[in-house]
Amino acid sequence: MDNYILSIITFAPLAGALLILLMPSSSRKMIQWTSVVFTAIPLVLAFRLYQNFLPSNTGLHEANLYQFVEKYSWISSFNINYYVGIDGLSITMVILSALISFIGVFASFSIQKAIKGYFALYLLLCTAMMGVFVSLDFFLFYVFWEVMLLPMYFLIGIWGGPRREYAAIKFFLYTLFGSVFMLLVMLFFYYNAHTFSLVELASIMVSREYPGYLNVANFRIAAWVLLFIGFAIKIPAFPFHTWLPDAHVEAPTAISVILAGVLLKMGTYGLLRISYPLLPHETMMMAPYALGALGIVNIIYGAFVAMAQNDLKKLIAYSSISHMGYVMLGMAAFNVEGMNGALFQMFNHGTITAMLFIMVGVIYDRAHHRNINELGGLIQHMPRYAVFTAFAFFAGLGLPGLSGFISEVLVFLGAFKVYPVLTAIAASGVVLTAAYLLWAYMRVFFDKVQERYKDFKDINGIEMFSVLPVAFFILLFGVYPAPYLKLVEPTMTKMTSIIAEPAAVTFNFLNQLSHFFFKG
Amino acid sequence: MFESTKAILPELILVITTFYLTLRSASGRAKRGSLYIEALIGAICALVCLFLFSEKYYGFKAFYSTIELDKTAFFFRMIFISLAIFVIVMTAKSTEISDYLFGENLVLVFSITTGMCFVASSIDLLMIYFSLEWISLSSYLLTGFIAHKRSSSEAGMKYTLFGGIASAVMLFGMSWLFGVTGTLKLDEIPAAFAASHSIMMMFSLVLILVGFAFKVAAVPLHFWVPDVYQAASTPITTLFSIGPKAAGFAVLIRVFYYSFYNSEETALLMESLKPGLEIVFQFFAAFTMTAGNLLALRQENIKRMLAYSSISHAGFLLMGVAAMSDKGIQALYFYIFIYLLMNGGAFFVVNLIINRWGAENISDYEGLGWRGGSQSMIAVAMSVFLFSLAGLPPFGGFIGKWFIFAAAVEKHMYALVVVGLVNIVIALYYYARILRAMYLVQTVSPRTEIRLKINEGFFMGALSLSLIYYGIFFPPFMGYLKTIIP
Repeated sequence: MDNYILSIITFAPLAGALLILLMPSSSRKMIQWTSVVFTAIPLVLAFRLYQNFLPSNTGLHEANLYQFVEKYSWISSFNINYYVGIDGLSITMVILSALISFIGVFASFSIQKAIKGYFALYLLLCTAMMGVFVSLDFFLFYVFWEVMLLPMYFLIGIWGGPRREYAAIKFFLYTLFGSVFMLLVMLFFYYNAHTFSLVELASIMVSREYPGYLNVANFRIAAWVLLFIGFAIKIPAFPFHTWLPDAHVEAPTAISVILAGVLLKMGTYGLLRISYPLLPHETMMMAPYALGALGIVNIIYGAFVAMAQNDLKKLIAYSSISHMGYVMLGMAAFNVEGMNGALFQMFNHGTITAMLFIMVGVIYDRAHHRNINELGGLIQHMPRYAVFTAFAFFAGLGLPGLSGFISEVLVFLGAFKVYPVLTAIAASGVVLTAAYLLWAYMRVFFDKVQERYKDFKDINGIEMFSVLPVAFFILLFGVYPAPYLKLVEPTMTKMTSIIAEPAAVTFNFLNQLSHFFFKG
Repeated sequence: MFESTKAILPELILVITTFYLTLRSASGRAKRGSLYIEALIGAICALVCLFLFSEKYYGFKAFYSTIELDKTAFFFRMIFISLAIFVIVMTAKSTEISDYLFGENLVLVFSITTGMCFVASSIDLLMIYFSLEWISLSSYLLTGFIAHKRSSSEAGMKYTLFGGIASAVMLFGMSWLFGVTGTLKLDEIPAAFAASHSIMMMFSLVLILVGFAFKVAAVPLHFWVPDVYQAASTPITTLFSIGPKAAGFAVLIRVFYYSFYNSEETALLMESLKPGLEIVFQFFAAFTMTAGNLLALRQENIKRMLAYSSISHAGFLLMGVAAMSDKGIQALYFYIFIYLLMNGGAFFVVNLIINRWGAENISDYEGLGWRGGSQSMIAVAMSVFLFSLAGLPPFGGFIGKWFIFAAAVEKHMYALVVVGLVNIVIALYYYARILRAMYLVQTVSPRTEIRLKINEGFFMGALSLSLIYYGIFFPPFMGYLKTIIP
């Protein structure tokens, strides 16, 4: 089975979707539990991947170091293959997206309208997301990337909030605009390097012996910029971020969870999978501005705007922008700490924001609004809910002992070596984050107790069950990040050595970390 | 001569059916149902004959070398006759075509199909002109013959004037070409060419191009399109949006690619023409796709919107021509085939709604996806057609666009490719307006429920499934298309 494991992980939800389409729309329970089963399969298999994964096989530009590879010819005239496989970079994202897809199903249980269509589209979305993370062929990657837009448009547009139509079309057009240029870059690479395989392309480009027109520096820079626009819209990096608050606020809870938990990571994953190995020199040149500087803007700007929000969901949407800034900053550092931190922050932001959005969903289901100023004193009526939310908020603001802290520290450690001043500015973002999250928490749970909320039921079993898996990871990685870092570190070490000129120093990062915690 | 007649058996059947239907409808007693069945039998016979007997005649030049029945001709004739069958099925219950005009309508459909089949196989300038005029005359009549509808007469008039001038210009160009080279045969023209002729040659080719551009509705020769598409009955609009356009591309490729680009004796000719022609086609492509899309953005009438969208699709097809390579032409053929499926499908749904509800505005589609039963099925099928038209994977339209882009990038037409990519985003906006109406607007207005007949459901299902099929398992078909380019 291990020979087909990635295909099963990717297409199991699609099979579930087809199955659901055959069911009568009245059988609500059956549809819900089918979705649970068909998202549980990838999760279980992802755990199997984790068990059988060898971190020392680092992938990137070496085809023989990928694991669980499947390769079948698809379009022979263009040398396009169905080519999937994972390395230390993608395995974490595969696990994350399996996890978030699974808990998203539980967050969707409260959906009432047309659930047959909802779950079918939801499962299609899961397949497309997973496909992006496992593809090693540029064409396949692009197809999955685009297929993801279709269910997303309907999921936001049909099951979303009051301004859902606007949010859905804005998301659709924005992301499509970003991704169409990827098509040009993909073809440009093909006609000069004669392959669509990301692995082969990487090995050609890493050798710095550029074939054909790729030898022209300006063409390579143009390719980098076009790719960056596509990925930056997904992240979303500062000037391209305006679709995110709209989409997040209008989307139903589970879709916000998917959006923040997985979709945003596709942007940074795309950069790491495509821009970094395929255009290492240009990345080195452009990233300090495009990722470093914009990352700082994301952190600070996102935090300030979040502080001004009155809508709880919008606040978390902007906090996502701020948190993705850390990922960008870490990626721009080009050293092992920074890259590890960035990849760790991608996972942690996925779990933390998923939890935050589920928490907001819980209160929205009861109050039917998310207005921070109108809430208040909820700790009286919903004590358990208050505890869970406190956990999520503290994770969000980077409390030591929870996973967000580790990844932020790693990012700062890495970035400080390269951009000391910028990092000092970015570090103030931590304070701002604490400010807006604690202030919001205070207004929602303390302040004056309101009588009209006294009938609210506390958080129920399903809701609790849907956050427990992510809470587990937040806590585990907060105290013991080694399993994750072991998984990704060899790949990230190799990544830095690809990017940097060959002489760059690599060192064992875990030693550094323990040094930081216990001696310094 | 007898051999030639045997070679065009499918066209012969079409012509016989045309005459037969003329006599039947002239007698005035024929019932609509029986005319429909007879027409369908005629068209299907033609298609079957085409598949059975055409292989024997590959490379055969019929009628004193004015017609060549090669594989390309086979491909296009297959498309045209299938389209005719499709259109006949759509007219069967059309409320826009009265019983009184039903026979005449079918006669004209057969006539235009025959003309298109000849266009696809002509290799002689005179034959090209003759068969293009055949198409044009039938189209003028088809547009204007709903005499009681004022817009129909107006559009027919507009079409006739425009078309008349375009073919006059084209004929003028052809006469120049004849004057320069002394021959009408496409395969002899390059050999008769001398370097001193290049300016006259370019001039005459541009004039000829005007005629072709009118047929494919390239900007700025597109002004007739929206009026004609809106005024004609929906089945006929379907025919117009696919048939003459494909015929225009067939002849465009035959003249500008097959005969000029493909052999060694044309090297001299191409050396002088190539840069100019490529620029011309690139500009045509860029303007056509952009103008079509921008004009489609604000349309309220769905037929008009699809009319403008068909202009922009012609722009994408022109991009395949502009690439001037086997890959580009191959991609173009694939796109034409997919376009037949997806545009045909979209118009099939539009036709259905017009016949049942008499409604053709986008706002009439509101809540279609929420009505349940057959109506949800229609909405799902329509979404597939629209996504495919928009060029999103995993549907056939994406593959078609992708191959055309690939051909253009190979020829380093980066600016044109960027224009094309931006156009995909623009186009998505107006296709999404229909999706929005069908799904995002959830208020269901009171209307009679649409029940699908089995054959209608089968047709729609087959079209949407084949779009998915060709979006994923296209390589064998793509390989076949490679073999039809000589």
